[in-house]
Amino acid sequence: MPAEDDRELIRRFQKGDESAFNELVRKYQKSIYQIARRLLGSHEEAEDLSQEVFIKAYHGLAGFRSDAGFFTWIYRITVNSALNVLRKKKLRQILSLENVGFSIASRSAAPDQQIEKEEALQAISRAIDRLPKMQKIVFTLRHDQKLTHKEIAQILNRDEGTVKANYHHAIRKLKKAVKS
Amino acid sequence: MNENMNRRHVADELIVHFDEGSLQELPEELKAHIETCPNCRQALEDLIRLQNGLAQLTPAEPNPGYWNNFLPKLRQRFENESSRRRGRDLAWIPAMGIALILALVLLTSPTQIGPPIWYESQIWAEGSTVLWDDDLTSEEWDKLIQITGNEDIVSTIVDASELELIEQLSETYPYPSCDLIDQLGEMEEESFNAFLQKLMDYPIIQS
Repeated sequence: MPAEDDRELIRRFQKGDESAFNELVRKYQKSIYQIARRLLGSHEEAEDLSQEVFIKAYHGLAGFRSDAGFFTWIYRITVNSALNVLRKKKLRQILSLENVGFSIASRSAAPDQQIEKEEALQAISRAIDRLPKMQKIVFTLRHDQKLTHKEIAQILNRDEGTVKANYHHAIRKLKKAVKS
Repeated sequence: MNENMNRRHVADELIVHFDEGSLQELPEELKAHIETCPNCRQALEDLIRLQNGLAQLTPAEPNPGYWNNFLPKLRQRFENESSRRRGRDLAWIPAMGIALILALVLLTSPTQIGPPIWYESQIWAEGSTVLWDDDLTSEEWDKLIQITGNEDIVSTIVDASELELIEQLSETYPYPSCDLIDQLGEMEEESFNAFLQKLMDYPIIQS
């Protein structure tokens, strides 16, 4: 990630240049959307979350310190916001007295009807969807966003060993999905 | 050396190579082991299949015109948010007016005004507008859920009481964020599950 460009854009934004923020949005919108889509599943939720992330970033940028990487910061907002959405869903299920077991069962059955690709790809997709949250986040950042374990550790505020262990477990689970 | 390589160790090694994209360039020692070990060969084949599968899985993309509209939509949300904020900034004016009128009524009324009485029938009649009363205690919410037994009303109530519940229950978790909702994202999985358990033990949920 060209952090130097980001620093310059942030400096311009902090001096009142709104177009600098637009450039930051254009630069990161796809990555943010992809992470959100992978973690939340639907386009609507991913769209809403992406916009929410940029709104938070907009309000937080005034006090943003340039020694911290912008992409680390905005990815962290994305991951935390996605976790919030998932957790609020879970909370709402409990609070509204829904049968959580039933909801999970219906959700896991739904993708089967939607995915039309060949069987192996379906299996991988489903396996990614079913990864535990932290493994899914680590896998998404490593595989989809091509971040290093060190960068992921910074984003998640975890040590690198934990990130590697999560990635390792994720790959072992995905490997089972393609087992011949 | 082959004898020293247990299956688990090789599996771990292979995942490291998978991660580094070097499954096709394994060290000679590892290659030699794999040639003699059917299980490890299977593990390597599975990883290669996974690698090929992942390469074909393209990330979900919205329709092509979507990105052209993303920024204008975002700017529109900023606008809406600013308008709401401006509205909130001025919200003290009607509130002050109501307070003044109430003060006048209290001062001029010959009879003492008692605490508001919560009529179940009125709440029924109000339907979803019952949410105007954000000051209901948790016991009252509890009672309301028992009375209505209506999922729509209950879920509306849940929205309104959610923050309060989170506020009460998350106090024991010292997280840096001052935004209560953000705290949820910062919780460790274990703490979050403990938090959920606590929530499920809460009287409203038990009802």
